[in-house]
Amino acid sequence: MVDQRLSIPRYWRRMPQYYRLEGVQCVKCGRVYFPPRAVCECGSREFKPYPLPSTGKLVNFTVLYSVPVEFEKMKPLIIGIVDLDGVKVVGQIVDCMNPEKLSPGIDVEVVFRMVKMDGTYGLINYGYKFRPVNNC
Amino acid sequence: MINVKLNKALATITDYEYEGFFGVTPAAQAAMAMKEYMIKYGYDYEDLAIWPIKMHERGSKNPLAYMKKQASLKDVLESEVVADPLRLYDVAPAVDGSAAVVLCNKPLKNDAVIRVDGIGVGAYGTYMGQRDSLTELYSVRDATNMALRMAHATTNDVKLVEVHDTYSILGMLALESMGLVRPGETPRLLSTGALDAGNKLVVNAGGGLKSMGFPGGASGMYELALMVMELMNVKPFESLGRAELGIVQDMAGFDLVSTSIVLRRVS
Repeated sequence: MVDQRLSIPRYWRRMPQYYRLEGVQCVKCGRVYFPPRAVCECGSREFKPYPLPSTGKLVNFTVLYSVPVEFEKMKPLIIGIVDLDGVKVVGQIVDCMNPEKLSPGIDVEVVFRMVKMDGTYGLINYGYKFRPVNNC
Repeated sequence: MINVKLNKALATITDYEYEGFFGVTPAAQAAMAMKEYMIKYGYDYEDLAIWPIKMHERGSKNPLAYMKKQASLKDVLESEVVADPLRLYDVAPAVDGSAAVVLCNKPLKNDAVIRVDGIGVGAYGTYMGQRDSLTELYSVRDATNMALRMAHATTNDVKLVEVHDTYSILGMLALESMGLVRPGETPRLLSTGALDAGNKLVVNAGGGLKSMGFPGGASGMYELALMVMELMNVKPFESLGRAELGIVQDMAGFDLVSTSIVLRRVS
């Protein structure tokens, strides 16, 4: 079976995104991208870092029962699309005991959590997740 | 039971650093698309369950199928949830499969000749958040337009179609993105029987990947071989009549890369 883990240097290079949700903004037209891109839709290659806001609204979500192997102990996972000021980000929704209470349009905030553990070498990967502002 | 290791392997088809890393699998992407589809067109899960029921019905008549049993609405509704609202019956089983197609430029006189009239490829960015809509597959649209243009045909000429339906919603979205069915109408047309054998447009006459099984990257060849058999009217597809033009669509991931092939019977 394919064992494709994220290599350590690659994970380190993604830290601004995983830890601070740092997108990029095109200097010429002002479009914001997350994840960062090399070329903007307007053709420009000049970008500046753009930290995304820490609160947003839930757009769409699903409760995933059939999970990849590293997440077996965390199942079910709630996977959602969150709109952070116009930039949509895909991530896990956590701290929600009753997924029935979730609905598109509720307020969520960004939290910093452990994502998974690399079983072979014990490296712990951290990253952003989202949680509903009003407890559910 | 769906294997967790298989899920991990399947998750590598997503944008792995930003989706697969957080546990997103193709099933989760399809489930979100299904949710958006249900909200956009006002369907319940019971309406969309018609796809697995119809595909199982076709598979039960196809001796080459992996799942040769019929499914009832009760079976579908009582199956386990894979990713809400996607259930086990919406997911194509991962199988080993094989298919072969022989291409030649000088066919014998007594051969039925199926000509490759057009091919098309389409690609679209993968990150779910950067998409305008989850209910339209842009790569499928581009690939199909390219293939039909090459074949000098329009969507009205297409009589047979094989779509990629690893998750039942992807089959519906593919049909609508190809322009063969008006957006939002697939479940209704399926339930009235308008896409069954004997009609103007026949969808997945062999049962699709839902009943044939999903052999990973081989699925496109699988569909192509089925389409050739359908156009040649060989067993078990005698009931389809003499259709002239068929189109095969296959897709990698959720709208990542798509290919379409237009086949025409010329003898």
